[in-house]
Amino acid sequence: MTTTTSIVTAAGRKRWSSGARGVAISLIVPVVILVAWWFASEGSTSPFFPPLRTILSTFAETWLSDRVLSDIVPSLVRMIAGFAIAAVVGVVLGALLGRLRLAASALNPILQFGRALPATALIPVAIVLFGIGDTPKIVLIAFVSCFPILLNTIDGVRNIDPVLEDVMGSFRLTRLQRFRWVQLHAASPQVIAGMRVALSLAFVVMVATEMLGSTNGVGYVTLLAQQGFQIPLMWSGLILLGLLGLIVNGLFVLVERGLLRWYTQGQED
Amino acid sequence: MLTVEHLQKTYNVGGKPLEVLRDISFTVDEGEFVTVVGPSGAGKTTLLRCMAGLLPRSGGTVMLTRTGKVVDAPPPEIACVFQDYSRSLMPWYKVGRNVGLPLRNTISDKAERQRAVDDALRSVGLEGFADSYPWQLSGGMQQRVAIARAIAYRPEFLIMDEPFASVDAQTRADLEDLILRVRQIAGVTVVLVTHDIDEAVYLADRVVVVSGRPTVVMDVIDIDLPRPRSQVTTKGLPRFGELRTQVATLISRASAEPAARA
Amino acid sequence: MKRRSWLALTLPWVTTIAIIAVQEILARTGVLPSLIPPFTETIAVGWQMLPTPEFLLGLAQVLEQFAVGLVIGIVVGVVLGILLGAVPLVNQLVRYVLEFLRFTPAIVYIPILVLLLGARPQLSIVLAALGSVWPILYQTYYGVVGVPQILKDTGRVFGLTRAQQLRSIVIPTVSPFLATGIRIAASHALVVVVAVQIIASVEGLGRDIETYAANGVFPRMYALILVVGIIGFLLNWLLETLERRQLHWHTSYREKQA
Repeated sequence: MTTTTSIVTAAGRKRWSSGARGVAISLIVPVVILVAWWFASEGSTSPFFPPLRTILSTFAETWLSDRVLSDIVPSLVRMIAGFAIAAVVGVVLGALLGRLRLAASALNPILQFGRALPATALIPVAIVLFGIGDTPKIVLIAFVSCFPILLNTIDGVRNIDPVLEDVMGSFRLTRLQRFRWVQLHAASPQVIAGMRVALSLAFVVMVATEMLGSTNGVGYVTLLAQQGFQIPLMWSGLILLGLLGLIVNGLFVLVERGLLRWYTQGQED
Repeated sequence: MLTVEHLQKTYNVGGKPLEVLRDISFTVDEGEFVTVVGPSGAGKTTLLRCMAGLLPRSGGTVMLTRTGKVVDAPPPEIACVFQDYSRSLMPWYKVGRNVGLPLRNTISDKAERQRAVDDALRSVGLEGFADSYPWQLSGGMQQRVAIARAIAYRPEFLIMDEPFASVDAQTRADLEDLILRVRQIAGVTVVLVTHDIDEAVYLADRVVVVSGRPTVVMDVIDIDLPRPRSQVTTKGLPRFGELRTQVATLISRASAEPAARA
Repeated sequence: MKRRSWLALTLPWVTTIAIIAVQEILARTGVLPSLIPPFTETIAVGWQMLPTPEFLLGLAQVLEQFAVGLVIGIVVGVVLGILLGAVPLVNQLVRYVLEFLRFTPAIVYIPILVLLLGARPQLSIVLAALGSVWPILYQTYYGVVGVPQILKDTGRVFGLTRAQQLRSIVIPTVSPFLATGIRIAASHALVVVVAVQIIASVEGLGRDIETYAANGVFPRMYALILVVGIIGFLLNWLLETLERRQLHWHTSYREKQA
């Protein structure tokens, strides 16, 4: 039975999982869910589950208007600013420590502790120290996102293929050349993997800081809506956050694919 | 000319010393093609890395006879080709950039560098592939890129560590002939390590046969086969068979009596 | 040689102590703002708090919500991962939905779930499960899909039963992936639980941290944050060790996937 099932599955997979047909099949469930949600909630009187129609119209009213500037942009700017700082600091420091083996191992306990500490536990501290403006959010996002990038960079810079070490040595490349031409590139898959983790962490911290202490932002508006019992607004905020997460990640994947084309293609051998 | 004198290398493995090379002495004359062959585990790679200056020696010397310079670090006169070609090329650069990379230190003029790269690629038959990525090429082609890179560097000595071990037999034959041709054109002296006895005899002017660990030189055999060599005719000569048997006998003796020599 | 490894072992700890000492000095001499206390003061306060019932209760609550949420996430994740891996049609059907949901952090659901569940431990547990299911799901999926065909063929050729195949082929192949997934999921779960306790005031150390912060009792706030950090550290260390043990056997697979 195992034999036939596997063979059928393998062949079957080829037929309906590829190309436009595959996309169409994958769209069935999402479309069904949306349609079902629409009709099931149409005449809804439940306070927590308003009609999908209302949610969508609220979405359009709220987020596709001036709220873009007053809330969406601040949220994204905070997240991206924090992430960018973390990326620069993490890569530079990580590259340095990757070469200075002793320094890296000396700082290791502190770095491991920093990475393992749940980021959200630091939100109250950030507010205490910096208030509820943009600063605590950006500082916290930068601080927390730094660790995965830093640790991954150290790892990536350290573990250069010994064959490449021989090549660099036999052709007498200078220190700078080794770094620019080999180590940076060789470490980039690891570094970018760290950035992936950091990005999702930045998003979480962004939303969490806005829910706890903020004056604007998508997370802030969403939680405020819930507390003020403006349910359709709350739902629209939830959906927007989901979309933002998807878009931000999607963009990152595109960039990653562009930068690491040599890596992914090479691995496929 | 390259002189290896009483080369000795001992590793430290988990606190215990491991003598890989006990006493290696041989010379390589200018323009020669010398192959080093021995049983598996004979430390042939260790020998090559010491010769190339990539591994510090425990004893003895490796010297460039003409200048008297001792090889403690990789000298500009030596270029290497490694066995694992897919890992020795940089996958993030195109073929042309890979070949030209070491030249950034030796040729300052950009146009001249480009010419050197083009010449090198042409000499290994990869004209037109400068804009491909290494992973787009077959194994044999990748190794040819590595050879082109070494040749473009204009070394006096080419040191090759089992360069054709990871390709199929047909490709290996093509690459063997390629390296003979390239050697003629570029005028380099070649030291090539291999475990393939046929290859060792086919390519060489002299074959250095080494023993198993702890490695010593068992014999150096002159290969008096006519040049140019040909896969079909040369390997069909009775003399080829004699030399081959001579080398094979030495090697089987080397593999059979490790304890006796310890 | 021995001297060098002795130095390598002690240097990290010496450096850590040195850095703490620097912080200590900077805090006591007033270089750091008064809002940042010296490290020893935080330790002292924490030490006093340790045996108190309030602390122990808060600790138990955090750990319980974390553990239950994580276990649920693991179970659901493994089941779904296997389902998706073994039945390609299911994967094909739900992949867009999953791709959309996986990038939504669990805390985004706080507003709606607070309305439905109230500010109770269940809220924390559900969200922790939501946060931890994704790494588990995808890692299990990759593991199941990644069982090399040649192993499956070998199993069939030698006439292994379904159960034997599962035990000796599928599970050992999937387990390093799962180990990685659990490590990642655990860190997500802890972050979520703490966040929910802080934001929605669900009982536990997180809520206590927020309470102390809001009321200006900063020494205790720092002490609890340190405790939470230590929990995260120990957890990560434990799971990383477990993961390394799993990967040790599968380094060949590791090289393939890397």
